[in-house]
Amino acid sequence: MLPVRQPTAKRTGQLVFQFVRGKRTKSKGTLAPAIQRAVTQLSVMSAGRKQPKMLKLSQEDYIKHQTIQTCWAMYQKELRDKRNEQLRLQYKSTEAAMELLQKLDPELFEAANASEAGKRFPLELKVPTEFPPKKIWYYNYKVKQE
Amino acid sequence: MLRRTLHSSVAKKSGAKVWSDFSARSAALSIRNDRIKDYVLNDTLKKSPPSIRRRANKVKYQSPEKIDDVFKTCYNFMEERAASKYAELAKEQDPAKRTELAVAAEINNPEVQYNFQFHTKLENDPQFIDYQLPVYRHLGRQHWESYGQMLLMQRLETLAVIPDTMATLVPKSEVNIKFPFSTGLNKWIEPGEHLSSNVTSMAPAVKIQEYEDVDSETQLYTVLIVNPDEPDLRSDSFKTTLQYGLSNLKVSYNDNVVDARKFTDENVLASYLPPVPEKNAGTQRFAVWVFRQKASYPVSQTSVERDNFDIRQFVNDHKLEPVGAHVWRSEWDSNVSNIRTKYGLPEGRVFHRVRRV
Amino acid sequence: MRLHILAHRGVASTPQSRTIKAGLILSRIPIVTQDLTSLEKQYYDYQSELEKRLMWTFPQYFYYRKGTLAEKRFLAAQKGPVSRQPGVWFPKGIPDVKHNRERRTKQVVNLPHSLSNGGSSEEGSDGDSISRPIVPNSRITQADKSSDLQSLERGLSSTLYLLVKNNTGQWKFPSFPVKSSLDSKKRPLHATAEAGLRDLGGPNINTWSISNTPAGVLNSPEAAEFLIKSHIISGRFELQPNSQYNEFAWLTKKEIQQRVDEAYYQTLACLLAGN
Repeated sequence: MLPVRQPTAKRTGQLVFQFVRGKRTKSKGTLAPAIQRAVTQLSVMSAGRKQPKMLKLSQEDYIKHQTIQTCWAMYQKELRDKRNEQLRLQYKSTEAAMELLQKLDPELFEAANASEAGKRFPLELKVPTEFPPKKIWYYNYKVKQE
Repeated sequence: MLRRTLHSSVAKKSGAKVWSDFSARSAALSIRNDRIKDYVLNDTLKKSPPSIRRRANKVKYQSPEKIDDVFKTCYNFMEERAASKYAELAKEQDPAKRTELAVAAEINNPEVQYNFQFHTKLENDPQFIDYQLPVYRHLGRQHWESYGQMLLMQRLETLAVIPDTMATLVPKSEVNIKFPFSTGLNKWIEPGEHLSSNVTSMAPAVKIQEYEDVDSETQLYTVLIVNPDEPDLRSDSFKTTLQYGLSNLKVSYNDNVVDARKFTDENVLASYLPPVPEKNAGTQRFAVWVFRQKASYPVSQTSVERDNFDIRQFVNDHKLEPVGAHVWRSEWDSNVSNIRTKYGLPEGRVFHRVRRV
Repeated sequence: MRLHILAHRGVASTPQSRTIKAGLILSRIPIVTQDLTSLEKQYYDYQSELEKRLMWTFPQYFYYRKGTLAEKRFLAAQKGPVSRQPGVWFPKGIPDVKHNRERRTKQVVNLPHSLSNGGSSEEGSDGDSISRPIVPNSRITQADKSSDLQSLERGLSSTLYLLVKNNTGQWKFPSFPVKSSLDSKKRPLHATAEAGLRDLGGPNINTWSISNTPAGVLNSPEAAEFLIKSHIISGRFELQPNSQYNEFAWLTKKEIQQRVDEAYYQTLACLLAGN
């Protein structure tokens, strides 16, 4: 590597006197080549060179953006309220059912109230995806014979 | 999980375009400039924002992509909500709830937000920010609470205006003061600022901005400016003097700067005495207090002792409710003697480190 | 039929006078995500545009080693930015190019097309190629098109519930009377419901009961029907002959509302997922 670079340096040394428009006349620097390489590397890696320009909105667009964000927050709140309301109704429904069951049949109430510790969520239930799988439903389930 | 529906049953019923109908709504709820209004509410395609003045910047500017479609949907969404608020408002009787609904119906209107955010709030132009409308009062109050009110309370407390003058303050209205331009300082004073005796040589204008629902036709105000730092050698302490006193003042939401044009001699409790701190007496605080009055009281039958003024006693006697305050500080400077001769005041004392009898 | 769900405290009845039934709300959870509303769709589009605008420059040197063929192909696919020239007027502002990216706008990264795409290759050989284009399956299935209510492959984006029609033509959730088992102990409600489902729809159904606790109750003077929630995981529901029901269907909440009577729906509406 080094012997190749040596003549280049010599040549630029000779060309200092020849004036070329647009050509860098100032010598690259007084740093040692290894350090210069490290500096270049760091500047290439630096965050500032990879970041986009700051996004500046005009007054009008800023108001538009605010409106959109407020609307979204409002929309999310409506969904949340609906969901909470449904959960509240479901809770009341369960409570009512259990109270009635206790009155009608204490034995079944005990069974319905039994601890379910150790119950596992079935692994076969899948999270919804954006597009369906090739085989949508597994129809050929056969119950295991003991 | 719930079905996500954009149009709820409430909103569907009232499909009226409430925000574009100005038959019953104030014109201050709309953007005055037609080009800006068009740019905000309609497509931005092939247009440049009118708020950018320089041509080069205008040409360079790019709106965020796909902002128009989503804005239109959001606008309709919120307009539907606002329509249901207006429908509620029509049925509501309770004044507090009515104000609340009137705010809720307009606060998300982009035109209102534009008007409030990009126009001056302190010296408001009722064309853009009309504090008679509940929504602008609500926004103004939020703006004040976000900085001005906190700054004021901090200054009042660190300078011990509370409790040296009044016991405490629950700030309700924004108070700002400004001295006449001829004194050389043409700006609203920040609470706690040091002012030269030249600046304070003439009576300040006091701006009382109400954000609450008050009846501006009947509500009266009292303004007192007191100096709690007057040296009192006899008691080896300080006493409070009354610098300025105005009473039975009327202000409205938009026209609320109390200066000489707003009152007559019948309102003047005590004429303005400029701060003339004596040499080496240290920095003196001048506290401006604004009170709401329960009832009117005639100035001619009110006697005030300027020297040795007891502000708390005065407030108790006249059943005043403190709603706002302000403070500035003054010190002796070379101009004080000029002010003294101008107002015919006696020559001030000069204090020394060692008291001479 | 009069139904009470909450007003049961005041009902004067002895425990023996009413039969206890176990109802079953068997659901098939959604297989695909919900359809987006127009607001959601537009908002997500807008946000993704903002994100692209604010994205850092694509670190091409990380993915393509310098001097390789892959890098050449990648670079050939890119539309380079307009770079700054001295003495040239740029109407859209002076370009600000760093790392081959115009910093004032979003960066569009084009992936190079695979060789098979450029050439004229057959689809047969394309099938196994890892670079074949991704074609997602349709969210609308054959069952949707033929409106086959008995298929579990319909309405993929919504929760489906099993409803059965009895001899009088009423659509209902299936319900089963609680019986005593051999050792004179009563079967718990969820066990009754599960066993009843297998009697009704054949043994080859894989289900998961959410809880032993009933989620609600349909209360009438003759019977109290406690509803157990359960999910179907796999298998097929086939209505067994000589049962008390003569038809079944997998329905969404909206379709249930159209088929059952109003009072029945109102008591159950909060138990059903809206999508």
